[in-house]
Amino acid sequence: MSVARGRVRPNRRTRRSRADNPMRGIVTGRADRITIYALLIVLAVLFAFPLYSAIVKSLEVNGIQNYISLFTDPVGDIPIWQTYLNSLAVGVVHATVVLTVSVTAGYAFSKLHFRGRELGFSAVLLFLAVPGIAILVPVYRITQELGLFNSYVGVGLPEAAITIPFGVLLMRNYGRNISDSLIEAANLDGAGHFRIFWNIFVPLSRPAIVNLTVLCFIWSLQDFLWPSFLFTNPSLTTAAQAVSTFSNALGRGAGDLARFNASLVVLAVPAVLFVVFGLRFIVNGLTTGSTKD
Amino acid sequence: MKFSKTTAVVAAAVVVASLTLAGCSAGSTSTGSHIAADAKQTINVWGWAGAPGKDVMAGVISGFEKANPSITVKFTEIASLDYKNKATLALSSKDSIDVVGVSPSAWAADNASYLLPVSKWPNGAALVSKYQPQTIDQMKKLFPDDEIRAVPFGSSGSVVGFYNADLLKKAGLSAPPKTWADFTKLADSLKGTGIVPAVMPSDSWFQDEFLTTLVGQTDPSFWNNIRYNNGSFDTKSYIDALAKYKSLYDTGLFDKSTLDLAYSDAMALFDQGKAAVVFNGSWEAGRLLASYRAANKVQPSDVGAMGVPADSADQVSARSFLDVTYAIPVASTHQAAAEKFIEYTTAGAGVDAWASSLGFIPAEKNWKLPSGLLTTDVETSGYATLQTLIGAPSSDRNNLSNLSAQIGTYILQVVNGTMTPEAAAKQAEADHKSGKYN
Amino acid sequence: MTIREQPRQVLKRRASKRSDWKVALVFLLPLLVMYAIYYLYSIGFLASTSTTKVSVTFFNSIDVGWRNYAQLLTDPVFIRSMVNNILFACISIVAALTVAFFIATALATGVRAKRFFYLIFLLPALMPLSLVATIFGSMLTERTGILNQTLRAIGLGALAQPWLTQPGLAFAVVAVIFCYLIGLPIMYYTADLSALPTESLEAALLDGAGTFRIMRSIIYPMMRGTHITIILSLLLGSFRSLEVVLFSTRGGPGQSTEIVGSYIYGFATSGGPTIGFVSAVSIIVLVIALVLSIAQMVVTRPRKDMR
Repeated sequence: MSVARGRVRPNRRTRRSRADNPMRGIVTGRADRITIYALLIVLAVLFAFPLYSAIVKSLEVNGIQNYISLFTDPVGDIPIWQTYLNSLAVGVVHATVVLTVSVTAGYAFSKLHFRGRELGFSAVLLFLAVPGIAILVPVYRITQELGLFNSYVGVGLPEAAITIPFGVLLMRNYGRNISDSLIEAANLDGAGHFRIFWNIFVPLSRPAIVNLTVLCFIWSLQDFLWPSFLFTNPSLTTAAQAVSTFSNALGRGAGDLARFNASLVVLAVPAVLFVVFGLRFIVNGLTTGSTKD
Repeated sequence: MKFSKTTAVVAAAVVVASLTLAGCSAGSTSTGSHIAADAKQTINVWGWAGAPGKDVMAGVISGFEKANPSITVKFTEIASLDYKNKATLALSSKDSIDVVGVSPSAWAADNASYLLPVSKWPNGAALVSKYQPQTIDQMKKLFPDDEIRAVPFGSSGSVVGFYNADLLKKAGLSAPPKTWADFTKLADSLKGTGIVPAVMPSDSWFQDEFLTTLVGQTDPSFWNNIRYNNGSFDTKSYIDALAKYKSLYDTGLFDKSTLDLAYSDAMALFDQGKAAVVFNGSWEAGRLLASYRAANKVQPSDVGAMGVPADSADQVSARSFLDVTYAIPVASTHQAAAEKFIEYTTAGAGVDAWASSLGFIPAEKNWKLPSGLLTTDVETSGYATLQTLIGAPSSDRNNLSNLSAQIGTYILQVVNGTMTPEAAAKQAEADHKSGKYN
Repeated sequence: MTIREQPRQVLKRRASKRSDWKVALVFLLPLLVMYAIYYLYSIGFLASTSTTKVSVTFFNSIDVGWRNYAQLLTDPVFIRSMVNNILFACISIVAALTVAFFIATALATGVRAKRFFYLIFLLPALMPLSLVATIFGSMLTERTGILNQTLRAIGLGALAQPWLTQPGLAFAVVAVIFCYLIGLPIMYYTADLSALPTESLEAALLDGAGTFRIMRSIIYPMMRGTHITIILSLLLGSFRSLEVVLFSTRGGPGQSTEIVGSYIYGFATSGGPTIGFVSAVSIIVLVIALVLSIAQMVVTRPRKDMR
């Protein structure tokens, strides 16, 4: 894999030449270039306005002190960094379960031959559109039966249940792009299915696996539904949930409102980190996986 | 052979994965139970924000822990809008809760089976005699079989108004407006200043509170009739109140542009001096205290309390009821310690610690506000007004919360002119009878 | 021994090629467990509670037969929330197929400050929806919202509106939030643009076609697969975006902006005996979700033949 990455780098450096990236060539005239910049800037201003508004509000009454106090005097006794850690912990469970299920099932649906494979795959995809809210009641019951209230596992599992159809689709589509000859060769060498899975399928699917992992963490960070139903212990509050927790805890006047907006700005930080550091992995995985087929 | 090896490795992978998962569940609650009475024990207390709230409870708890060194209290505060759902979930999942705040509404009956009847509390019978009898009567209305499963903490009333005394003085009013005619004077004096005469939370549950208060002015039996006699929303008095409420906006006494203000926005506007009156429940009465105003940067130098104005001054009234009550879950493993805490907080030395913040009027017999808390005339007369309104309510504020939230959306539509008062009353009654919300 | 062993090995290999069902079962085991618990059991459980009146404690359940379904299907708010759901999805699809496509293509042509633009456009989609919607909600309040304040400050006070309390405007607000979240489509387009076959582009360049014509007439049709992926993912996503409504308009004014998710959420969080009703709504939503999934399969299938 490191070899492959080594190959990617020089490519990125030479991308600036028109030959390597024909997209650069489609802007033919000066007027077109100016129009594109103008449109992009207008859109960027519109997109940035809500963030600007949150920042303005967050500096009212007590100025920068609103931010400092978020860390010195936690809102509702939940340190704001703790909410990130909670989202992260849920994300670990979410990603672990989704990967375990999706990679194995992806292998079965793309590389194994058995009767009813396509039918089974279609059955899996049937649940692609199920929104979490529709299985809220039974999930509540399941969590109760398994004694998983107030645990990261309790929230990670239903999140995974919702992500799995997509995960299986991604891994199966990716798996179909892996040449069967490699598998057959290994099979002839007497390698068992597990060795093929572990030594060939998993390493070759790495871009899709990385993509799925990053998406799992993003979705855990965004998930509001499950934590709000399955966590009753305030110290487990996740980042998405913190928005409502903080809004309730800071509902008592002007200074509170400014602090609340400061907390919103701080809660947006992980998303910035995702764009800055994770974007490449998501886009790579999308290129090679989900959009094909 | 090959097959079984594969199986083994996959199984191992699954085991490893599940162990990883188990490791992640570090956050799950595990509270060891210490049954022995004299041993150190920790009790978990649950309440919602503002009932009376974490800051206030901290004082009560430290006093209790000093008096009972063997008991440690862990207080969990849940946002008030989340409370009913979260507390239900916690009770049904047998979370270790030893004292649970019970909302005196339909919720109490819905969750009665999780709560230990007070008659079975170690010292229950003696405790009950420490409260004002009418609070115990109200308590009985909350539970299906007259068997009370919680004891009263304090009462509140709604809707009441808090006014900015500075602005009233400027408007030339010597007393808070009791009639809409007086209120018009206030509104007129504020024209062109950018200050709105009145704000209130636009949350749908609060819209319902306001409307029920308006109905109570002319038809005091309206709410009790619905709550206890399965009465109807589709009455003339209700339709009139809806029309009256709409007319308040149409004539400019209230401002439609405040109808998107959430609870905190409405309070913030008042605290910043941009609204002369804020309508809310008596649980916001902390603003009468100079110390509260200083700590929370409340702009008005003096704040008083009033009822919702009516067509004639003698109609001014509010609904009141118990606001907070305390219960011990059946599943609690520290029932004796829990009862000690409840007694200390609701009928013992702990009462002054929270009652001094004015959020609620204690249910304890013979309680009096410690002197020296209220300094100005506006503050003292405001507090007296609140006591009068709560003491002689138009009806019980024993809510059907889900239904209220639904009906509130119709009330907002009436104000916006997208629904007639008649249609809103019909729809409210249809929802009431459908059983979907209660 | 060797003579007897050989045919068996060959047989085995052939068999493993034809049918690996035992191995497949092992590999599918985690999936089967998750599906059995979270989908099969769930549907059964929902079906049984959907004919009762019960709270989330599941105590004292009262059998009410088909009443929940009857109430649901005659509830204008439910119908409206379904319609809104579809409308919001359609609006966001239009935005994705135009604005997101433009942004992705424009950024792929090597503009300056590309990372900055990506940050601005993708950030909303990666933030918790609750956060985005809350920011919109507070930005748009009539008296104190920054939008109206800004409009007044730059002399456009006439444009200041009661964004959240007038039904038409509130609807537009929710639609705008849905459009604000087009980060994922931008990512899809970006991903596929980098894998675009170059020949036709070069041919167009030789023809001397203008930038926007190339975008519209050459690149756009080549992205057909991506368009379909985006349409479906936004349609599915709209059923999962309850926070968008919950944290901005709270479904108001007068429940005019309610979507299915927020409708269910309201009943599910009431703490009262509404769980039977919620189950009935869930069943209906599940049926719709399954129909959507089947539609997805039917729509995406022909593409395989075209390749």
